[in-house]
Amino acid sequence: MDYYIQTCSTEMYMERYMTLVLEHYEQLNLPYTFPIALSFLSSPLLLHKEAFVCFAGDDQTVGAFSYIRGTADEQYENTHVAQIQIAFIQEEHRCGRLFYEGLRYLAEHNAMEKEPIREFRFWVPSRLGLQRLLGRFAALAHTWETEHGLLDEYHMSAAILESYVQRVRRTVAS
Amino acid sequence: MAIRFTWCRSDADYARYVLYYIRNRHLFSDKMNLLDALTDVLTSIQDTRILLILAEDEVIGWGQFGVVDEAYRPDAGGTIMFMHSTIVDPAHRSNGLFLRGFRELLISVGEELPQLREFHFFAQRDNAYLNRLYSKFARVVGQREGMHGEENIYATGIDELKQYLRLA
Repeated sequence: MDYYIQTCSTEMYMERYMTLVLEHYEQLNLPYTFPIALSFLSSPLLLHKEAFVCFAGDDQTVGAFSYIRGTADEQYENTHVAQIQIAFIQEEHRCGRLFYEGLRYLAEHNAMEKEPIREFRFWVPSRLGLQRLLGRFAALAHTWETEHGLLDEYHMSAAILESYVQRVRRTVAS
Repeated sequence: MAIRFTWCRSDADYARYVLYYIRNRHLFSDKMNLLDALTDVLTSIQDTRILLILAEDEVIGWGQFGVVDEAYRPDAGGTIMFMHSTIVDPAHRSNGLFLRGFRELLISVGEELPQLREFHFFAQRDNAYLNRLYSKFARVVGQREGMHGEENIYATGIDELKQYLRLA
């Protein structure tokens, strides 16, 4: 299957992003009430258009990811830090290939930014058992107890993301 | 086709409401873009309730209502029911559906919010159909600059509306 990724720079791609995440809302496992989750999912579009859609074949949307710059504890002024708001791939397309394409696109997109992000942060429910996969390119920084269960906070430096993407590319090439 | 009404309660209901809004935002205005629609939802969803209209199990529209004070500020103990917005698939629009929707709303909120005295809503001034329909049971009490241009604000007493709908 051919996969490609698009930045949501136009109305059409933004709509594809929002439609995909809302159609699969219950599978996103977001530990928030709906209004908060909606603001969480929309904010990358409303702020800096840092949302991305994954396509399979010609025109089928099968995944999405997005981030915002800055963190609340620093009033979003630390724009070299990004919080990944969502990373979702439809179940039948969850494979190493698309996952890798997403990371590669993120690394390349970031490298071309005027002010590249130096660290990406993201949160994953511990019960999903993704620690080994995520540990390949991100460090577990903290585990939070929430009313929806344990939530792992990961930090991924842009440098490590880039070297991971290059390492995988070399492995695939050799 | 069987039409039914259901209040948004679950996350899945709310997701369907936003999806319908995004896909049909042009029914409000050709100029309405995705971010306008999202901003409208984000700024109103906490203080309003949404009645979904379903044909079989497919969303064909909704009405969004809030309880407000006299300055139209959200107020859970207010006496005015305010219609924030409503949207219905053109293929399903009819006076019958309109009346059924109003009845459903009044029966449902009448039990839960007995303090309500008035119902306020609005129509774009250039929408002849809506203005004609609303004038049958409400009076124009003002104008406002709405999201899509100038609007007439309509008001009617809850009791008068019930009489018009033959609920009282």
